[in-house]
Amino acid sequence: MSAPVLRVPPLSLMDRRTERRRACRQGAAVLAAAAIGVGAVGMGSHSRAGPDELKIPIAEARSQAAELYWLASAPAGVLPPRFVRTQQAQLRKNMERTRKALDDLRPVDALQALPAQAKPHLEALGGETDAAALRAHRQALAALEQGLKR
Amino acid sequence: MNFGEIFLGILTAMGGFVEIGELTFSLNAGTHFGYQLLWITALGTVGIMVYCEMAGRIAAVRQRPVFTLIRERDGFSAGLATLVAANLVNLLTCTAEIGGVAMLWQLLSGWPYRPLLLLALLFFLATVWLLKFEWIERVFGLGGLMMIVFIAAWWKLGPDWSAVGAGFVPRWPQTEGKRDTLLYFYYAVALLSSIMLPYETYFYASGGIEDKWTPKDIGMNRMVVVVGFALGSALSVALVGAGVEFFAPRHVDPQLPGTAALSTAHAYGRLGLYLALLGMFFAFAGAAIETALSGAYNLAQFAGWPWGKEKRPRDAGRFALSWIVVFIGGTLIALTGVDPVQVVEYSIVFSVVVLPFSYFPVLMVANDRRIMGKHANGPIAKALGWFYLVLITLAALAAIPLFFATHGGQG
Repeated sequence: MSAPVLRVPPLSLMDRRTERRRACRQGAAVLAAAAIGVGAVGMGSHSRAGPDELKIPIAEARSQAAELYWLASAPAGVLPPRFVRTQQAQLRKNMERTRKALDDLRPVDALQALPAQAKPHLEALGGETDAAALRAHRQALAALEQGLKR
Repeated sequence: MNFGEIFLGILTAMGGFVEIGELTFSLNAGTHFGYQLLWITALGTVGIMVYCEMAGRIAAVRQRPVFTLIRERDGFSAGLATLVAANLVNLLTCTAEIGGVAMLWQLLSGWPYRPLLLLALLFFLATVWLLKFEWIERVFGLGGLMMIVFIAAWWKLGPDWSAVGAGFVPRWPQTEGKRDTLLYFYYAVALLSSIMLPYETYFYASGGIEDKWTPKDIGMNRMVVVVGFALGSALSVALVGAGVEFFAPRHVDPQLPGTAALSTAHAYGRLGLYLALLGMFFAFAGAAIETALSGAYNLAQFAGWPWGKEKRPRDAGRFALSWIVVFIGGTLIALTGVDPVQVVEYSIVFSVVVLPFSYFPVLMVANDRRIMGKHANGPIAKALGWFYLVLITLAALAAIPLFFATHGGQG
């Protein structure tokens, strides 16, 4: 077989000062592009929230309520108590994020009342262990979510 | 290479196929869209087979790893942009996997999350420092096989086989409106990206060189990639199935590793739960190690430094320092309290943008008879290579607009 046709030999190019400078410039450009992307997401989050934006935390809360309900109603002995306690704690951490996301939204006028309707369910979920009550919260949140579908 | 070694390679490839991002996207793809996205799983699996096989073949014939090819073929500027982007994705993925491991340990021990993150860092540093390359591959690949419990649990749930079969046929999605259709395409791109994650190819080719492959290993490379990844994709299909059959009827959109294990607990009680948790631990830990090493491979290969896990740290000091920095960086990011699942969702979407830049030079070299001789791509490999290059370029162009249009895939 003939020698490989490769444009650049595997040299330690980064050791050269000019190449290093160019590397820094290009690395900075990629990071700047990433920062612009993150900034765009941040700016987007400050606009008024419509049904699509409101649906996101409410769907999360519905899913969290549904999982808590399943954990509470699982037959005895299926899940180790330590697992259940820790899973509930991890879910609560996510619920805190969801509640914060709901708080941070500025809904359009027609949907101003919706966060206030959802929040009591989210707050109640944190300490609730009764399966029937969890089911009721899940159904209420699902109804709110359904109302936002277009 | 004997049959036993090939068998071991296949099992390792299968066990190492799924990581935290693929787990989340597969489960949620099933929850939101039923079996409609299964064809994407099949498409992505063939894609990763095609490019890992090519990268492995180049490693066996010319001992050239992917990032050396990227610098040689894309040139310094494009190569450097690819390096920065690829290593950002590696760092984010490593962060998510370390976070996932700490969450799993928390479920098993009940200990607090942050100290477990530090413990995970020590565990990873000690593992990579002390274990030989082939043992890292075997321990985590074979341990990941415990995730087969997801296939068994899905089977026990009694899937609708006609719907499963129909899911493998590409078609326009049946959704509840324009937003849902956009979300379907977002999931399609994310699922494709999670299966074809670029670090898998970097790691696979570098691993081939670490294992001192020669042209005699080309057959073994092909067998391991095709059979191992096909079996691995059965795990992804089962995860989509768990989403459809278990989580969707219960109105749960899985966002935590522990949630994923509920489907196996439902089917097999505590045994199912523990198998799923342990399987996920090996799979996530394997991915954390692969991303950290991959970050170090990329940097060293691009810069022309000596590299290799099998080299003594004093002979490849900058390489060793690089993977240590990736682990420490990932742990520090996880310690800020970011949600690992959210981190991996971002990293998977952004990694699709890196894919064309990583795969183009691989395809060019594998096609080149002057370099590969009789081992160059034949017409089928060439056609598949070009098909997937066009596909991932389209996916890369669509990824960011879809990400914003669907609020990061949330609706």
